[in-house]
Amino acid sequence: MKWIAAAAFGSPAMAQAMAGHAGHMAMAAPADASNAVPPPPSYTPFPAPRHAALDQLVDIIIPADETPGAKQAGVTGFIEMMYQHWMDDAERQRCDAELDLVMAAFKTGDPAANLRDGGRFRAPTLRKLTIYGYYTSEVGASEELDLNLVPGAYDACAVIGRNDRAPSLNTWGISLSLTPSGAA
Amino acid sequence: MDADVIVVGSGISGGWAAKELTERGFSVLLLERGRNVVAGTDYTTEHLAPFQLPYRGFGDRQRYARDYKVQSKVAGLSDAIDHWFVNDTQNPYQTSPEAEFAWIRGYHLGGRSITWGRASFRLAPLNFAEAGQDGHGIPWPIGYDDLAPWYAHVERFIGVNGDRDGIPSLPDGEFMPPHGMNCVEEHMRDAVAQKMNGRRIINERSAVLTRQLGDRLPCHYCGPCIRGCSTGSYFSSESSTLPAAQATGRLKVMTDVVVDSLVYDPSGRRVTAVRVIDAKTRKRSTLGAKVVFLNASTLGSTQILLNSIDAGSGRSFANRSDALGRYLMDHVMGPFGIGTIPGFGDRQPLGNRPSGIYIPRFQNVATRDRPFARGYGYQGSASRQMWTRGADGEDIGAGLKHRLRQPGPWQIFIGGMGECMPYADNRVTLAKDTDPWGRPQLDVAFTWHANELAMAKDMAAEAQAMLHAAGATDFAVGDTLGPGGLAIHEMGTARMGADPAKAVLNAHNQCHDAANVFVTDGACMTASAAQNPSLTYMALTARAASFAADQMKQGVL
Repeated sequence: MKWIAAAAFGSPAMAQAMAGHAGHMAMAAPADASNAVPPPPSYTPFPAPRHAALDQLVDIIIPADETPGAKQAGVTGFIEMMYQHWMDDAERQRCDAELDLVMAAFKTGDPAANLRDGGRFRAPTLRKLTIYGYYTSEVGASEELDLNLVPGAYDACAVIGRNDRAPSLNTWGISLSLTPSGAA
Repeated sequence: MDADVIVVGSGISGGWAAKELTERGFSVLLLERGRNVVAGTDYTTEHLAPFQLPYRGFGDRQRYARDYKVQSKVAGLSDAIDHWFVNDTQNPYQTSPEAEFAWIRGYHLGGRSITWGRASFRLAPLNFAEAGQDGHGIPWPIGYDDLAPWYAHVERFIGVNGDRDGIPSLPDGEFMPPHGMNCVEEHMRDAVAQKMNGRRIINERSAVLTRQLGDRLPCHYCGPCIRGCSTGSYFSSESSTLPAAQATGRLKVMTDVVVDSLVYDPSGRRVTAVRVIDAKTRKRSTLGAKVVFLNASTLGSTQILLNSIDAGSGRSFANRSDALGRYLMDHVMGPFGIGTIPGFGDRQPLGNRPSGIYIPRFQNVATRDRPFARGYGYQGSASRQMWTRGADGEDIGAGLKHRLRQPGPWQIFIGGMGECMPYADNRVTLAKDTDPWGRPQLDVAFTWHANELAMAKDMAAEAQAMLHAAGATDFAVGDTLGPGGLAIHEMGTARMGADPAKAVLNAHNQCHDAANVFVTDGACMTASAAQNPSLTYMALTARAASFAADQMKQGVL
């Protein structure tokens, strides 16, 4: 994990000098609370059977191999948090319906086959959330893929080896939409 | 007198006014309506990983739906940056669905200098010559040669990287070496030049250091500049102008101070005081100075002027022309092209470059060759698709995991940015409703007209042609425009012009009707051109500050 702490880069001396001068009525002010990063919101896990089914599903979508999978990366909790604090009603209903379908499939003799409808995976919203949750988790971003928060240099077109893993970050940030593809 | 000069606003242009005036020996009181921001300490999301953010960088969507209805129209508003944007519920303004304008704002020390896109292009002689000569707008009261030395002055101080490309529609400046194109961008550059009559694709010119400049360190390529930069590697008020002003010992900064209006003395035809409101206690008071610089952002400065009533006429002292509040412009932005470029699979950029490529205006340059006036450019970049592409598939399990372990295909994106014409009916006025500080709210009305719509179609068609020339597959283009404001380049509502009957400001950004009031933010723009405007605001500010300083030294002001 190539993760250089921000503190490795000292603030410029002149920026430090600003700290003593700018402030309300020219008085020194502490860092404003508006700039503080809030903690992750607390959430209520799904009822036990649904939580267990979601655990099982994310483990099927991104399993452990030489790196941990989605279940170990805490993706179940991520989806439950997003369900409670991020989704709108229509998206919640879609997740509920997909999880119902998944639970029904798990009760059959051939869950893998029953999670599919021809070539289509029948829980696309949960699949997408699993991917977004996994690759933004510490495990997914920094063990499965390559996390380099402060590269320190730029190589416009480096040669990559077969075993190099893709970066988990980009320049602009990553947005998430649960609008089904093809919908307006 | 509280200072020789009061500067209203600490963003890109206000910081420059403070620096230039204090360095010329004058005391400056800088007023910022928002909270204090301490460089470094307050860049609290800088270098945080997604899992260190409350919503992994996907944003506090339910809060945005409630309180950030306008600001969330900005692509990518997230829990990494939402503290740099205003709460719309607490900062209301009026606009209508038929003439919607998205007013994107940040109220804190440094303003939008923290969040800007850093693209730094000069206007060209052509841009100054066209205005008022082709049936749109009025002439600039200055030409390129008036501004060229000030562009150089600004570029040397802020640190702009780029190439000297020798393109008439985009004059060269004082540059550090560019970050550089990747192999796919070079491929497109060469293909477009070869197949499209020498059309140029160049390195974007941007205010991010590639060499140390004073205390400011070169870019460390973390990527999301918008979170703030503790090494001062990109230009912001915090990294550059405010420390320089502070070093003179003549700068005083007051944060959390909202300006209500200016007190006008009709007999002296000058402003005698600034009415201010404490943002927290709402206590009102006045501050005095010889000269006032308005740098409160285009609409912020216009709001202050509209609210500065001359008792004799009953209207704003600055609005004899009836141009104040009119001729609102924003860049034509939205049309784009994106395509997959086959090959180059063994290559991958390392580090997150804070800039991209630029395609300078190629329309209506030597001859009028388009069914619309003026022109547009594109910004863009090529990159490899990342793990997010997995969401489009149907695969699960080890196969999916192994597929996403490798970078995806190369994609190239270009987005247009075009000149907007000044129209009298694109305007801001004072509404009856007041804001939480008791000031009349702004009512903003903006629509795109035929010239902009024709330009948008052309942007999409040319984007497709260039992607095709580059051998792109699976390409998509768009030609639609959203509401005005989303380029976040609003400008023109207190325009410069030689004729006091048609313009608010003269050739020195001085109010025609109050010699000691200068407006040097985007409000002053006579025409928008197609280039990202911040560098021009900075150059105009430095030039006007030099003029104001000379006038004060001569005892005229």
